[in-house]
Amino acid sequence: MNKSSLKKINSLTELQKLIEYWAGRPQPEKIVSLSAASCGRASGALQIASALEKCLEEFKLDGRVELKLTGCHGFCQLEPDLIIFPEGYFYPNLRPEQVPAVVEKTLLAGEFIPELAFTDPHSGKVYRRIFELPLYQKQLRWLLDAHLKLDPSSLEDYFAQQGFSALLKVLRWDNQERVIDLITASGLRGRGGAGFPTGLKWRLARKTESQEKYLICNGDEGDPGAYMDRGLLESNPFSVVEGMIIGGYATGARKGFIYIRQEYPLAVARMEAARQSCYQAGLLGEKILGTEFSFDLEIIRGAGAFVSGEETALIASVEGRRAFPRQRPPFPVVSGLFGQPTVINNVETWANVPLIIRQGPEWFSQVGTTTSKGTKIFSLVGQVKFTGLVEVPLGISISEVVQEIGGGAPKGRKIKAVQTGGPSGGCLPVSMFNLPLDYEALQAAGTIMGSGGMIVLDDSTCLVDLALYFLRFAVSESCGKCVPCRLGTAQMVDILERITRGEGQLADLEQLNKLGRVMQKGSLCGLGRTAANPVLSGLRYFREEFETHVVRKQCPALVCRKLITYAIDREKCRRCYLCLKNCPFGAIKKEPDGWPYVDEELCQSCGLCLNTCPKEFGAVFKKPRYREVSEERPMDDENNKGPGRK
Amino acid sequence: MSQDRIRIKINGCELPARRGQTILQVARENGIFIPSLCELEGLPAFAGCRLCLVEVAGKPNWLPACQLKAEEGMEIITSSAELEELRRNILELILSEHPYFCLLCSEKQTCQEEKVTISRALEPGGCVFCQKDGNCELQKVVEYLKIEKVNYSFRDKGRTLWLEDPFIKHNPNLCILCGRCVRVCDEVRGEGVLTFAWRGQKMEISTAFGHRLLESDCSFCGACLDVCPVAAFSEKGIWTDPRQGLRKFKYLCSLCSSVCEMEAEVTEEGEILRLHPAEEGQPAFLSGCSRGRFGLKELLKEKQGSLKNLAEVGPESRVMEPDLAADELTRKLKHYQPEEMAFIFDGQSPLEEIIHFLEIARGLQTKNVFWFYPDDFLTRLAAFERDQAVSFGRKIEEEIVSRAGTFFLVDCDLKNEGLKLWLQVKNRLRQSAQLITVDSGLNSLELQASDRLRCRPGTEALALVLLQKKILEKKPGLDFVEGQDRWREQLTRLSTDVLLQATGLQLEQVEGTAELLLNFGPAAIFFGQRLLRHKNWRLNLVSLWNLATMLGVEACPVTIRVNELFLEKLATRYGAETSVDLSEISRKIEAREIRAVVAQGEVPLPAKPEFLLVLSPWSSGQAPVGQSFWRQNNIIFAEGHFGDVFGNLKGRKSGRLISCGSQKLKEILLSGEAQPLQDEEMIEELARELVSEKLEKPKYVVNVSLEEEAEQVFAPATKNGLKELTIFLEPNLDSYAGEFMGKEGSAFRLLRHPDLLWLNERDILRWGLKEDEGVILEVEGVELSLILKADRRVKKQTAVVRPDLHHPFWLKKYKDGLVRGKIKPFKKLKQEEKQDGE
Repeated sequence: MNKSSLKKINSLTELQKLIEYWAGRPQPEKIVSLSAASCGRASGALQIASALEKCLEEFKLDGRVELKLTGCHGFCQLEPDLIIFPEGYFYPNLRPEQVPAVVEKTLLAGEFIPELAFTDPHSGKVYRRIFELPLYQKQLRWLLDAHLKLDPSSLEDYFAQQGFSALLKVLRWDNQERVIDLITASGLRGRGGAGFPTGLKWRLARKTESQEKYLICNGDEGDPGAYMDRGLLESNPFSVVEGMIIGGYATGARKGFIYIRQEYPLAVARMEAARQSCYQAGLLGEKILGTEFSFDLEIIRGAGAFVSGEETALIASVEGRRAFPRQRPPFPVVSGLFGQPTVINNVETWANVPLIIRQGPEWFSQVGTTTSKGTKIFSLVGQVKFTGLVEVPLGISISEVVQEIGGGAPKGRKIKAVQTGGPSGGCLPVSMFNLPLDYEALQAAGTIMGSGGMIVLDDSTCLVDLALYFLRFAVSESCGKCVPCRLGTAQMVDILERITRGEGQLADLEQLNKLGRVMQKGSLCGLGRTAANPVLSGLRYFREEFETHVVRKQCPALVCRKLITYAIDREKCRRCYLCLKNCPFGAIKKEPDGWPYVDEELCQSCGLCLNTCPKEFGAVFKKPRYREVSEERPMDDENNKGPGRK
Repeated sequence: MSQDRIRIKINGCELPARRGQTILQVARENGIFIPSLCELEGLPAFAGCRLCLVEVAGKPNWLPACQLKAEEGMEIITSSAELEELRRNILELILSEHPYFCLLCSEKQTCQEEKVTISRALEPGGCVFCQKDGNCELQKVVEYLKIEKVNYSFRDKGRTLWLEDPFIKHNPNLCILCGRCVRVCDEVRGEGVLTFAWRGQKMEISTAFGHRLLESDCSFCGACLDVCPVAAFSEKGIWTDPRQGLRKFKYLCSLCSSVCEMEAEVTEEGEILRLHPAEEGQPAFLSGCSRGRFGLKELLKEKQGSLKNLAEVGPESRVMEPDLAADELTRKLKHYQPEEMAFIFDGQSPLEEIIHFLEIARGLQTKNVFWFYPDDFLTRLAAFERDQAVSFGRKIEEEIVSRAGTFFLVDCDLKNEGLKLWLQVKNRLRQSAQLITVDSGLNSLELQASDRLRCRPGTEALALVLLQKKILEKKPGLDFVEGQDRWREQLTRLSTDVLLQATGLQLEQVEGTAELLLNFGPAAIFFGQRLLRHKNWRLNLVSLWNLATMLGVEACPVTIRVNELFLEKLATRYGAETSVDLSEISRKIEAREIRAVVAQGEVPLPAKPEFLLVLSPWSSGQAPVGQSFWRQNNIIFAEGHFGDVFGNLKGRKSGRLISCGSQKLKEILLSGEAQPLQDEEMIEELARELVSEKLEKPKYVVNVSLEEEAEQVFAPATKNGLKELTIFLEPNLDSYAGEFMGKEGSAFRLLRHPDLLWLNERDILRWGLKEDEGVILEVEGVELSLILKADRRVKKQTAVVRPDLHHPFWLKKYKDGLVRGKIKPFKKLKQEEKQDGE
């Protein structure tokens, strides 16, 4: 849509008319929605778009069919996908050469093409419409549904979805307290991880006397495997802007900052475009919609440090300083950006605000548990059948998310645990899968809700290795300011590395626990305090696995390199000797009868043999490396003394 | 007992506290020890070491005492089994990357003799040579928490040491990343040179892009040395065992009007180990600069050597021990009548030396007592004040600084000329105050100024006039003051265009500055000595005086020398004649009217009397070679009284006064005479007088015709040749008593290279020259080879040189202020020669 056509809206009535106009506008015959967020583009959405445009022109469908480059549709592994409304036909993993068929058959003739449909590789079932897909079944997509039909660069499209009607409502009330009361009544809590009640935060900011107040939207999403914020920023930027304008109105802040990490260029571009159109339309700037209320918005790009997602560090970063967290209290809401009261909320929290205003607090708090209300977006990744961005009502059990939405483990595998909350969170075993997704329940179980990362792990994952992965992440991303986090994580990595090498001792596990406590008690910021969680929760629920590494020097999941070796299955081997030729250590030898075998003494567990063995044979397999425990290293521990020393 | 007084409970004891104090401060005041490594009084809190965590009743988390502000009724527990356990663990973690053998070694008591730990410590040199050993804060905390073993594996950082810079070395392997140096560098000294780099395990202290300190705008103030709790930052070239006996004494640094209190550490052998600021009741890092700290040390070391040689080198001069000199003085002077003697002293000497000198003169009943300033600055300023019957504000009260909305610096590099004043100004700049510089030369503060008027060399007066013109245009109804009408008439008559052309300024610049001066509250005007260096210095002073009068504030000179107000008072009391014309004395010497001269300090006498005794810490090029050279104690031993930049009396109230031998002299010379006033009393009395003195109502100075002066002095420069330029001679601040610090001292020479020529970057580009390459500077037929450096603060077609003033050629030019010259590159010459050859 042409942006220059945007005219300044001068009054509330004008805005109302505009929303009514766009919402009531007759829909085109068909809407073709193509997922074109970063992930879609990476899988070729733009080529599809150009192919579609060409075809639409060719078949002269221009006026009747509207092509929309929307944000993320949520089903990651099927990108790029196409949804054709009003029927809701769903074509996953589309390729440009398939486009003419889609246009010809579905758009012109209204027929569904079963060959292009999504087929469950495990059950073989064919799904025609998007909402029939198992991934979407159990979801409650209050926020995400908007993404399916919304062009993120078009303000008009947002109007058509009742956009800015919440702002209209709020400005008509002319009562800031009422807004805060409403948010408080809804029970909305911070979606960034800590779960601080949003209404309370706003009220505190409103109460604090100061000439300047600021709002910040925290879009510095750094958890590995999490992309909820990116999804929202790229797919529905206006909802975040609207939420922040309402927040500014309610708290008395005149300026807001949206902090987006540099690694999200599309999110930055879309947000910037949204901001510009809002300025053009008079929804931002001086005297918004002819009222006395003014609000400015600025976009700040974060320079790529995990720690700048911590609110005080983020504030320092916005101020132009090194992203160091500082001790709280004072909390940002009392003294934040440039020493002024600052409300800092996560992207998802801001995006929830217009919804709550529009639909009312009762509507919002109808779902959830006693303390956690509403829905929450998770990025469901890892070893499940279906991965994607899912939105579920809080209070739903983990197993519902993993087994029903995610479709459970892939064939032949067994789910072992789920990791939530990224590097600050912990692992929960299958036995805890009945736990409801609720801030308090997760915390009590030793993990956190976090911003919504959910990594499903199956039996091919070693928990020690996983803990090591997260700790390595913490070591390299620790800001370095406080001692427990900077050096505690490093010591933990040392110990964990020792364990994965089979050089661990039982005392090391105690040392890990002790270090974890020191970090929890002593660290400066939330990230330091929770950095040990992956290890501590691992020790809590999977102690046996740690002990197997330490005592028996074995890795049950066959992941830790030093603890495994390879063997060749004679029944499958065709004696091509590829493995023998490729082994860099000469560890694969020939038996006198010509069968290759692995000499474990020489094997360095590089895995080259496994990779070179032709797939159709699959003769090389991993197996535990048995060691004489006493030979490795003399143990200080009384119980672990080798036989020779007795 | 208002709201500021509160009560808190620490470990069950109710204790008084003030609002705004941190828990750590309250605990310290009450003798409760809380270990801490990153906190330091006077620095903003960091809360990084986590050793000072305390338990607060009602709070789920432990909070750092260094940052936690006391609140009424707070209940704190500073020590419990859990807290101590946590602290021990944290400290063990700190030790896991700091070589800790010197802290925990079981043989540390005996290693002093046996030096066995050298082989054990990971650091080259080991714990034995660690400069902080025995004085290390980490060591103290380790002892307090009784750490005996570190349960974590040692992680050697293995980083490269910084050894390339002068004076300061940094050992990243000893660094515990407490961030004190970063905070002091950025937030206290305003340098912002040191910073944290990288994160996590890689984090280290660094400069921008990891450049050397020399290339990072470091001023080598040495504050990082004062704050470092371990020996990560340490002074270069000190390899003495710190546990060895050291003699320490305090003295006042007299290199500039800041008059920092310093402490000298001297080894048993009498070698000066280090000089460092030690202000009483104040953090050390608030004072001191590279000159006072490192330059003087190098100079003194050199001088001690050269003084020993002086007796052998000079045919006539002798270095005499004070007592011998006193004997000789009394013996010789007996032969002369009081009228035949002349006592001349240098106004830069410490006050107490001067008092003794004057007492001797009084004892000998001579009336021929003269004094002079070796510096033109003070002489010219005094002459101007006398002629115009005005007086500039000598006492810069702290209130002026705290109230000022704009700081207006004219030819004044405050950072170098009045460091402590600058630190106060900087604090105000951090709040809301604005900085304006008017300068034609290099000014290190220009980049921090919100407005800078960079006028052509020598046109400061016109820039100020232009500014006044614009102020009048914006605010015509300024109050009536004596002489206003005539001055205003002159201002309106001069055309803006002429002034703009002459000064090379932009109209918007000047108007913006006028706006700032009018809108940001009262201005504090400081001017430096360069304003009086140019030949039209009178006009400079007139326009500055009138600007200050127009704004209703005082203009204050910032001297780089001791405040002369005390001196003037003292001289009047003893009837000494000020600002003498030395040629008159020379004439008298030649006519044998004066036969004996006693000189205090450096006296440039052209004629030589029959008897000459020079009392000075050292002889310099300017002083005549005396028949006797009385070596006074070195300046760091002389504890004089000074008036600092704020006009406060500074001095040590100790019984032991300066100048060995002077007591004996007094006995000999003053036998039977009236007892002189005690020095202390007299100086205090003088100080009291100074404070009560009131300044007259300001008036305009109008007996100048602006147009005539403007036409004469500031006729627009004609463009002659391409590379012809104005050479601006910067005064060299790095000197003491005429001795340039960088002359011998190698490290200081590296820092303040005297052979540099500064040009604007664009000029360098335009003329096809290259930075860091040699150029030839031609001034009136004299060719000098210098090294070219770029600086964007230098005005176009201008060069800045810090000349060696021992050269009579430069000295003469220096007094005129401006020189015209040409530069040509070395390389091009060679190319031309080659072409000729072909």
